[in-house]
Amino acid sequence: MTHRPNHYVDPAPYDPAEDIRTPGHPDLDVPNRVLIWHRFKRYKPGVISGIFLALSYLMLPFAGFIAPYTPNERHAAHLYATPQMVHLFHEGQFIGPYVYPITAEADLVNFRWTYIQDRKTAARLEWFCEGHTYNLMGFIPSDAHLFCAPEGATVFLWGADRLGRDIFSRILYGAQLSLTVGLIGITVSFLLGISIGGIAGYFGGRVDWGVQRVIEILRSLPELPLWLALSAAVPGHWGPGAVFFIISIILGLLDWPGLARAVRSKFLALREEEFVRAAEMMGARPRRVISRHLLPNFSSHLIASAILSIPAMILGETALSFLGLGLRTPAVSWGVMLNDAQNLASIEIYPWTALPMLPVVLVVLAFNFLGDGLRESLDPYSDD
Amino acid sequence: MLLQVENLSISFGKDAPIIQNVSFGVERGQTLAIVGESGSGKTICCRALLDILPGSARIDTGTARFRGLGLDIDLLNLSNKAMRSIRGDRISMIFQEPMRSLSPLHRVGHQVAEVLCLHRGLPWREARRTVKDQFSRVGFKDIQRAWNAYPFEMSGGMRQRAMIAMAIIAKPDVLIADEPTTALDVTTQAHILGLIKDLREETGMSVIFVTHDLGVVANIADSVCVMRRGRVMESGPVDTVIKKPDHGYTRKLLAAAPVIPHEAMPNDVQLAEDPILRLDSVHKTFIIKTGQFFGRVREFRAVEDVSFAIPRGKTFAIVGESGSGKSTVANMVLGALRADEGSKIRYWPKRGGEPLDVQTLTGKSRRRFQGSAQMVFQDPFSSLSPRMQILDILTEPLAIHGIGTRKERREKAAALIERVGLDPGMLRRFPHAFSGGQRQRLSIARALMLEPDLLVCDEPTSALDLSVQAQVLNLLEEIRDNLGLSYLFISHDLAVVARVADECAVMHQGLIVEMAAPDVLFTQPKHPYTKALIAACLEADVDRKVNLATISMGAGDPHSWPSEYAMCGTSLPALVETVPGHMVRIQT
Repeated sequence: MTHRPNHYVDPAPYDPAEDIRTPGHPDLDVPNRVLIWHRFKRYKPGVISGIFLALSYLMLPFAGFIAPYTPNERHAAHLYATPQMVHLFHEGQFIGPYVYPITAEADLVNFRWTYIQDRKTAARLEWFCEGHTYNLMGFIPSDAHLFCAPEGATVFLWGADRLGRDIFSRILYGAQLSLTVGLIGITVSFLLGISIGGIAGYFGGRVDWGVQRVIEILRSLPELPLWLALSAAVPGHWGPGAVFFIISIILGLLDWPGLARAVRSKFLALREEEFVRAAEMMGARPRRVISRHLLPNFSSHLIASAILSIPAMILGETALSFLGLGLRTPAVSWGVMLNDAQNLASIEIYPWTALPMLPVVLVVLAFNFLGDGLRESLDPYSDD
Repeated sequence: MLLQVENLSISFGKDAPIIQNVSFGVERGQTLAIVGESGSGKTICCRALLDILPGSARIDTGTARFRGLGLDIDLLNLSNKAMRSIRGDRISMIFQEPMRSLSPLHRVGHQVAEVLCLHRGLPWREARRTVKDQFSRVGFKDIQRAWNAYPFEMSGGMRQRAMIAMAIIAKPDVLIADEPTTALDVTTQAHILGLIKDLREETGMSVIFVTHDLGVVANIADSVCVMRRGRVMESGPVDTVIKKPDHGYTRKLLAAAPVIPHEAMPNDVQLAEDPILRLDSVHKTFIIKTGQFFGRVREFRAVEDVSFAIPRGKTFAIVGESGSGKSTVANMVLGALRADEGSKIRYWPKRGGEPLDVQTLTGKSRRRFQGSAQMVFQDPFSSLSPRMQILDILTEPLAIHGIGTRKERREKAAALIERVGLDPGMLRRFPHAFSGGQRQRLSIARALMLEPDLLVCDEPTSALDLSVQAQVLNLLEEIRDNLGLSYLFISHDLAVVARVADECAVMHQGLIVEMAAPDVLFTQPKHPYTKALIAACLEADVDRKVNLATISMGAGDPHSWPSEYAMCGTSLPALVETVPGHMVRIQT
């Protein structure tokens, strides 16, 4: 403080020689992906969805082990069986998980199957039991199942459909196809979208103009009829595996315009950044500029866009199979299962046949939350 | 005391307080200047007064006592409704970027009239009349056009005037101006400052002016408050703080403020017998297509008849406001843009050797040229790729040209990073860990990797704080002397150029209007545009205040120049050497 009126001087000691050899913001000095992870962690729905999807995909090779029945195993005595609850306490005592056996009864007044539970018998579930054979991870034959019902009882956790096939097991097997169709389709879409969009964005001018017109034409074509037309052109004698592959490729082929547009606009923006100009002025060739400067700065956006495109493919496959033009039996996907639920009357009487809608909704929501969370956390330099 | 802030502390979330115990005040009819560099917290303090802080900000302590007409309230403790009636009516604010602060969907006149409708409840006709009067007061020449225009149709200076009109139309007691002239040209800045000063004298309102420019402070402020890192370092009347500062930080700021020379040093005329770069009659016209298929084609002459030579080992500076074509010249020198027919750009890589024609370089010779002439960019935040480590960024020029093994490249990077004053341990870090000044040094190190002979610096210090500017300029000078480089220095700041350049060319709308050594240029300017630029430079000296009123008369306007300098019409006066070493564009 001085004796001059109204003149305030801060009394704290001041060191003019600021150290320029230490980084200005050491807390930001981590690789980019760590910064993105810090921001992503704060978006709870994204994290939960990520965990859910990771678990779902991890479960896929082991679907056969977890499911008590194989997908095409029919039970003629249990058509449209009701879902069975798993109980723990029988007559006041804890005896482990068990189900009540059910027997079918034809209701000839309403023309439906009703099921009567035998509440006196407690059919305890067997663990790590032997059942029908299946291929673990797709190629190892095995007949071990996580749990199954004892002799004389059935364990239809989510009921059975019109041929007596366990819906729970079919949903697990269906996940294998429904969840991977998105991945194959996204790969096709990626490759096309990045290359075409990148070329348009980097070179600009006539190339860009041409690509944009193609994108606009493709996007203005109605999706569903195109899908139907293309999948109707698939030869009928092809096996389900080949059909599945072709369907995924078709979905990917029709989805690349969206990704290409995103890539193009991001390239156009990045091209004006000064570090790109700096590289060009130093003499870098376009290939180097694209691979070392543009793509790394864009990879996170790509991942977010790709993740947000997967739900469209899952829904596409479900729609196609629902209409009977995608996968067909004996292949099982959620869309194929919903094909059986086309009949309003059967949904009314046996509502559990529409259960495959649930995993579709959950998976699509999860992908959307995950993609949103990623997109929100992508720019590590912006202020909160 | 009209507005008195005491012990203000603000923090974000759970972190330590950003603003600590800040106190300042402004009297009725006076101007308070809040000075600080980036990160000092000056903007946050002002936003706290009007309760427009970001959502996560929390005011820990403090009072802001406002004693306007019939009011005695604490601004920090008002209800939302009460604060709404104060904003725009008793206390208003203008911002740094008028483009972002004006709604792009509404006409400017309507936006200004909205203030009157909100606070005075005037009917539309009367509001319109008042707004038009106000427009003429703030200096719009075509009032009807300003009323009907959208913000994107106006230039930066006009938008800022519209913002000022909007802020003062309700005759507030206090006007808070948050760096309103930082994004504007020097001459426009002088106009706007003059306007604010006039309005203050006319209506008796107080002004709180936030800035980082001590020149502005010396010219318009009555009292000053210097902030650093959220605390007040020094505050008091402007005479005492600027002339006899007590705190070390204030002294550092004053020392770093660039100064315009007032005395010419003995002039050693240099003939450029050994030029490293020579431009002859360089033109560049951009063709702009308006409309889609059958639109009219409009020509935009970015650069016209530019000729100069850079002597080896010297710094040549080009000064001009935005839109004068100086960046276009820099791009053409490096071959990134192709000049029009008839332009000649020649480059001598070695003393007395054969010149390279930059326009016709291809293949190997082009790569050789690119290795020999490098550029330092303006924005330190976007000129370093955020996904690459510093080591990769620095060794990239060598990797592109295929020079040296990995180990050699790394050693060279370490050597150069030491040379620019940073620690080699930083090589494995990422650019976003560094401050603006440090990044600019890294940019310079990258430019030096290929051992160039010519360095083109495109406004390298304009995005940096004042104190850091001085350090980076020192570094550039030191490197030039030690390595024998030549510089082409582009800037809009005359004072920076005065410090750094051996010869200086002033550009206006694509033409060089005057060219001389900086001392001569500043002490004996001949061209009216140069005189206008120099007059508009604000110095951090209270005794040399600029007469803002004469500047506001518009000396920068080409139509007001004497006839021998006139550039309107078809005939362009040629660049004539009036005195050895001093060229002016004048009709002879």
